[in-house]
Amino acid sequence: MSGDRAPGRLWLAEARTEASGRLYDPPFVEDRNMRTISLSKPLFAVAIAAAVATLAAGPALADPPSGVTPAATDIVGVGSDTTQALFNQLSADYTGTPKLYSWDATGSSPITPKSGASSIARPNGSSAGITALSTTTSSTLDYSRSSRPAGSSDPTGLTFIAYAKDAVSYAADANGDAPANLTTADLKNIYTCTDTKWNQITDISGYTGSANTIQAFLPQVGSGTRAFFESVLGLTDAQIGSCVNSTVEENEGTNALLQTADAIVPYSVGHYIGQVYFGHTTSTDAPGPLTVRETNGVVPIDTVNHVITSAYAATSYARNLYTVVRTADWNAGNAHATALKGLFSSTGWVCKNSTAQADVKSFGFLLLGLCGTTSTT
Amino acid sequence: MRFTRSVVVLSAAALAASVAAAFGPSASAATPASGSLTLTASTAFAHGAVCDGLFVSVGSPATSSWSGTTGGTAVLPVTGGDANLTQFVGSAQLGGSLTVVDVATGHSVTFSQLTFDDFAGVFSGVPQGGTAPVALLDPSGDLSVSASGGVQTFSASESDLDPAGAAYLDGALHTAFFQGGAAVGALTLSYTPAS
Repeated sequence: MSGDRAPGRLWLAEARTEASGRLYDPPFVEDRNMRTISLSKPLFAVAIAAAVATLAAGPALADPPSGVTPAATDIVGVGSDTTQALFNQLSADYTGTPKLYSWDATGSSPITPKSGASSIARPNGSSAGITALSTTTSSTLDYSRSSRPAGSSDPTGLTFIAYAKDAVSYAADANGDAPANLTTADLKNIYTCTDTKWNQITDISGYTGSANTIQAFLPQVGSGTRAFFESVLGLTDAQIGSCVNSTVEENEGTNALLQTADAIVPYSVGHYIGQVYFGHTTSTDAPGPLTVRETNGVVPIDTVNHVITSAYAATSYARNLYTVVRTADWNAGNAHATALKGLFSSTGWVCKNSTAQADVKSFGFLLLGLCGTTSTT
Repeated sequence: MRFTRSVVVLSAAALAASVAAAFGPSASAATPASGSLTLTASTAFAHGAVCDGLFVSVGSPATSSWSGTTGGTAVLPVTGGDANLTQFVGSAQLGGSLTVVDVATGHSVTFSQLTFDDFAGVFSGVPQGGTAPVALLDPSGDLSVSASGGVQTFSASESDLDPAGAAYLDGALHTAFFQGGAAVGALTLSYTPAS
């Protein structure tokens, strides 16, 4: 081999002219066997229902199982209501050590998350979980579930690890007064109490609203779904109108307050898919009479494949789901960091294990191609 | 066997013209998306490829360089797209081309219309004569995303050969070198959305 064929010059050789200035095209060999191969990581919003059928059969229990206290070294988390059912399933399916545990957003309070931990008020929602994580150590909590990205007001020293995609729309009684579609402007007017009656909504083709009063609901303060929904509408908590009721738990159409013809509430599209199409319901965690609607004319659910539509996943109503850890823990380089990364990193169990991925799909969420991507506060 | 530089020279002008036609700035955006994607081929991967008589040529307007410590680097300019890296949506369109050549046989394959899909997490290209993209690289290892001053940055400490890309290359070049999942090198995309 000639000495002028230095690897450094040949491996990534910039196209250039010869010394003569003439452009030279190397011969391209036509190959009858040459074929086009589609992306091996296709858009994840298609044809997943069959794969989900392989979902592990292990029971998903709310909170650590009765009588079980997670060990001090186990990986224990709190936070988002939207993803609590998914994490209950992941906790049941993960067989590695240390074990994975997840505390629901609601239930008895206070809780002692693991052996030797401090007793804490049960965090209800993403923001509450993030606050709890940032005010404790790994002796009490290891991660928090979040259905919203990092915010400017979040404490520093946290790492948000994306693992799936969800979306939010509004839900209303299937036989109620709400239209099948609302624009962002409509929703903003509803939640600022500018529009208080359905007949004030005049920009939806073919819809003539009733004179009934709109009953607008939001999840509790501390909910990631609430924070995300407000951000999409360009609103803050302070701008939410006084006509809005903020007492309902998110994604629970079983709440009697929501079972009226005029109720409207933001709802996780993924969670709804998990409830309706994959049977992930409890006596309270169920859609009841609510159905998820379109925003800005974009259909949120592929009712054939039982996934969030790719069109809706491309709107501003799509959001990513995160596991939040302390950055210092993540980068510690010790056994605890190894355990966290073994679960949540791009090569970890949640991102790579087929059972975990089936769990994510079964609970209505889209797999993220860049699962395990981190961002820090 | 003697290899000459002429083997690696491409029709840069023709390529640049076709790329510009395919990925010209959106007429609707006052300021088109900008930035660059930097691909690195580690010295280990590059050495293995060269030992098999394989190399990659980078077509204009992309550029390349070599370092004995970090390996080969290709920088592909962003020419358009609708990506939002922090939201994992959309894609970034990239200028230039990548030509993989087997100098022993003269077989080669050129990928243009290079794209980074931020939802699927795939770097892909359309092979010459084809219309459908082929997945080439999958970001792996330590993945991170950040945004500062309107510039979004996605970094992967590793990128692996996509199984589809590996199969395509081996099929096109009549080689058995390319293995799906093989670690190639780092990938960084710096992206400023159109405004």
